[in-house]
Amino acid sequence: MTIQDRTRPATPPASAVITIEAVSKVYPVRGGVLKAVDNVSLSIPRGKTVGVVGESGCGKTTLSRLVLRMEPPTEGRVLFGGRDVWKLGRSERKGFHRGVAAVFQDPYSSLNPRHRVSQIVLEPVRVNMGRESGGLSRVRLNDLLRSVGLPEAAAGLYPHEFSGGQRQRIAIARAISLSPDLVVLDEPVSALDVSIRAQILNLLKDLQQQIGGAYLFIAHDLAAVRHMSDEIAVMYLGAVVEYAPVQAIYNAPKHPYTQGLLAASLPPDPRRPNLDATIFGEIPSPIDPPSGCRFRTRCPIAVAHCAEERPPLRERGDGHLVACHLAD
Amino acid sequence: MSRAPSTQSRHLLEVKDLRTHFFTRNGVAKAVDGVSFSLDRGQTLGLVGESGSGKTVTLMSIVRLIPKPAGRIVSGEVLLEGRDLLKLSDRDMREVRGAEISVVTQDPMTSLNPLYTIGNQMEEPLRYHQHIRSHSELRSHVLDALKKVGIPVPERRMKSYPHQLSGGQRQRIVTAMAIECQPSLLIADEPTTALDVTVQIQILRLLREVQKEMNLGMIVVTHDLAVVARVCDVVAVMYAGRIVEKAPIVEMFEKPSHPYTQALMKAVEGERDATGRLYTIEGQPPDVRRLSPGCPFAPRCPKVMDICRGEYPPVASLSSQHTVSCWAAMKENGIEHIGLAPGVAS
Repeated sequence: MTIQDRTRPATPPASAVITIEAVSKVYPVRGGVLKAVDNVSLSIPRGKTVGVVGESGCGKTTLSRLVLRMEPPTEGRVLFGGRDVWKLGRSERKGFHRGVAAVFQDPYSSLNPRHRVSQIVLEPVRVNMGRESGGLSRVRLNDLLRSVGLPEAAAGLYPHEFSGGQRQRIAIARAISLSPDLVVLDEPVSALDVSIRAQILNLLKDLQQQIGGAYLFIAHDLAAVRHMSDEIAVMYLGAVVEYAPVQAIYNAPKHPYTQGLLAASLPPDPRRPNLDATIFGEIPSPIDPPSGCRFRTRCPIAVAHCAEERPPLRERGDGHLVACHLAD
Repeated sequence: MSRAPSTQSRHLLEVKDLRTHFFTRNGVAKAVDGVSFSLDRGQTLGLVGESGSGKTVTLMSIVRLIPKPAGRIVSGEVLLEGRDLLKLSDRDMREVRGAEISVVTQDPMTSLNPLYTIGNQMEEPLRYHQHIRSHSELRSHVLDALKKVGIPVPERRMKSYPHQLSGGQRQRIVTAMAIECQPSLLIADEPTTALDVTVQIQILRLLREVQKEMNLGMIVVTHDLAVVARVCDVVAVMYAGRIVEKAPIVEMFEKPSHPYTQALMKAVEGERDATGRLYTIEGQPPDVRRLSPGCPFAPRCPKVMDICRGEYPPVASLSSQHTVSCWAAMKENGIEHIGLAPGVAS
């Protein structure tokens, strides 16, 4: 196990809705262990969004599962409102589930096909408020549908009667039904058509202003998170390699991996059809990660030293953290 | 743009007024409704559109793999070097597929058989189409194809099973399989959608290199204009079963003329308004089972006029290779509507 420099993102955890403290998640697998999340720390204050970006196998989905309390961390703590989510009592746990919601990538598999929209959207209300919910729900349902841009008539329909974008609106209505403090958005627009994506991103942003919740926004490329995020964490093979305010990531990315991701998500220009990849090959197996810097096998600027010592995530001014020996 | 029907074919592929409809319980879905384009050797055409626009059905009609009995190619011609594929027997069509036309699909995991080694399944098209029987000859052909797509240590990879490879490598294998019988036309259906962004560029580059080296005609179907910008020479934008705009790649990006193309461009560039909101195209793509007689984009179109709701616009030429089907674009470019039947009204 590497002991990393525990430099933390600038936000003080006290004001944060959610704080992840040096969290690791290790799964035993045949032939060793898989370190899916490796010593990640971040925190999100009210009304703010942290984007987590990385390719398949980088640990972003495991991270979201840790935040949602679907898995206990192997090391470190996840704090919700300052309390360790695995040390909550029964009633506090209810409070946690009321306060945290999620929207997933696939609006086809995340909605029960045999439930009407009204049931789907109000299920969190029913489960968490019990009998109190009764009379409230009709009004609340119409409010929710209106706030995600669906007609009231949608309430009586089934998911298959909607397009992908509309289904995602249903999933969002469900997520915000209890005005959560934190919404985990796991690739919420990746499965949608280009012309629909912007609608959903605008909607999410508007809703955040209304309910004031914190967002953890997970994506596989930098294009989608740009509009939403205040700060961005770039992950590679389980660890954060760069963490910075959104402008810094886009205007002055310091880690070679971030630079490569950014080049891949630039707006298209047919006059300069850039096919020169700066990052070669593919992500190595997380069961047997490279020595030293995990990224060195694909890095365009790696030197011998990178194989020997793992670069710590270090602050390079203005809340810009980078884990690279060669970045300055 | 109705030219006199040329009997001698100069084009590698010519698709004329293709219509593929699906006959469902809930009505007829006109998935492809009057698509025409041509493609030469050495040229790459991008077919761009959102889900339901008919881009994949267009491809599948070319190789005649439309799910039966619901789907049917109701009219049109698909001429490959002058020969109408729609008139071939099923048996002759099987000879064309994999030999003259190859397809690379979106998901390399499902297009490879998990129970056979890479070498084993790569030999099959060679046996079937080229009637190669000798083991050493098969092996050398497979090795050549694997080398061409940049697979390291191909001798070892031949013995691997698909699950032992990464997504990018699988897509390289599928590409190798597609080119080993020396096709003249390569069709790639969302070839990079299932891959990580840093791997996507590598695969696009591979497709581009293979296409140039073998002088193939290539059709790339994608929802992603960034893919098109990287590999295509010509782009056709589809909406609700028809091509609404077609132009050489640079011209399309510099002078998009259909409001839908313009909207797509703004969307991929992440354009924002003064209040910081992302530019959006309002509404949803139409249901191709319930199309009105007018332009199907009219309900979402910022430039909609009265005529748009009543009559589908004809194909108008903006330059020698740039065509558009849009009343507003015609007006902006001073093209008169010459009262002729548009030929696409149905």
